Amino acid sequence: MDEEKIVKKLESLKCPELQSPLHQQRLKLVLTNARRSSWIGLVCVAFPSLFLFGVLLKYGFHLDLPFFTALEEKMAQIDRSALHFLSPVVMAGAPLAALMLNLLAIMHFHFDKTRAEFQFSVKLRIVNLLIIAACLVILAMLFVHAVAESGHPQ
Amino acid sequence: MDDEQLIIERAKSDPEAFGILFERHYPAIFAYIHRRVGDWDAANDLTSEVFLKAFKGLWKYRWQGVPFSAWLFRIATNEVRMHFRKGTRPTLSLDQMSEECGFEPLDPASLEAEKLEAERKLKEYEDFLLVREKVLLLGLKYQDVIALRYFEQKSIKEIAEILHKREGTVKSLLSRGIAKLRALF
Repeated sequence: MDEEKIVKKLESLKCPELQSPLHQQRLKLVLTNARRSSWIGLVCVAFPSLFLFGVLLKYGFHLDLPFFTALEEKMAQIDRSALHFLSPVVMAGAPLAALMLNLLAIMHFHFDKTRAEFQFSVKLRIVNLLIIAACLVILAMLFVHAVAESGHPQ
Repeated sequence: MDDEQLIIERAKSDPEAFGILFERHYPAIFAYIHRRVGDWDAANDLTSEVFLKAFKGLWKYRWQGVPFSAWLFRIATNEVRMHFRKGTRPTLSLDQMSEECGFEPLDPASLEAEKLEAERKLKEYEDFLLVREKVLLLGLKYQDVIALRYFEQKSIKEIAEILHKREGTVKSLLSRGIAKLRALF
């Protein structure tokens, strides 16, 4: 076959136009939902982390930041108002929700009937693991604070 | 800034906007990969890998005269090359990714039905299959230019953008590729 013929053959070639709608639909769903758990987690731990960092600076290192003092006063005001339930929700509820969400995102449970085996695996995804660590630190600090406050004479 | 550029900028922080780009470009990318590799499962896996890489690397994309579609075709071409060189599938399958996001795996029966229907349709393209078989015997650099020019109907300029080569180099690769292909018929 000469070169002209082969070019003509290539130019008039009818190519298949196949598509995979099932794959397309699922891939889109996966891509648009990716990172959601870590983003929600980050939002949930942002405020408690900031607040506890301020507490650490003020009472641990005796650094009094005006921004933190204003925030502390605002929170005390809220605690005395009808919205007093907000503090525990934001400080403990949000990190707890973030902890659950991120644990679920990386843990996988599977029961293999044929082998009568229960399999458990954890995915090493750094963002999720960091959020889990932050949540645990926040919750541990709150727990220590709650224990110390309950044992403190009124 | 045109509509696509605006969506790309939004997509850098918003997965929903990436969904719009995905809907626009998925058909062309899937069809290209499938025409290159000829295997339904591999085409699915490689397409997943292309869009996952595009999603993760979108922050690196800068609009510098190279259209977004060319950038996607470049990623797809690299994935196809790796597939041919290593003969392996991408490490992360869509099932794994679905699982990580908390979705149930796709129904295997529906997937199998879609694959069988695609394979039946593909057999109707005898001429294409014959040419593809011969093209696969060429070196990868010739396969790239011939597939982009004649399977995807891309212009020399577009191929140059996709492969990040000069137009003259593309023309020369195309001409040498055709000469090599001629010897195989």
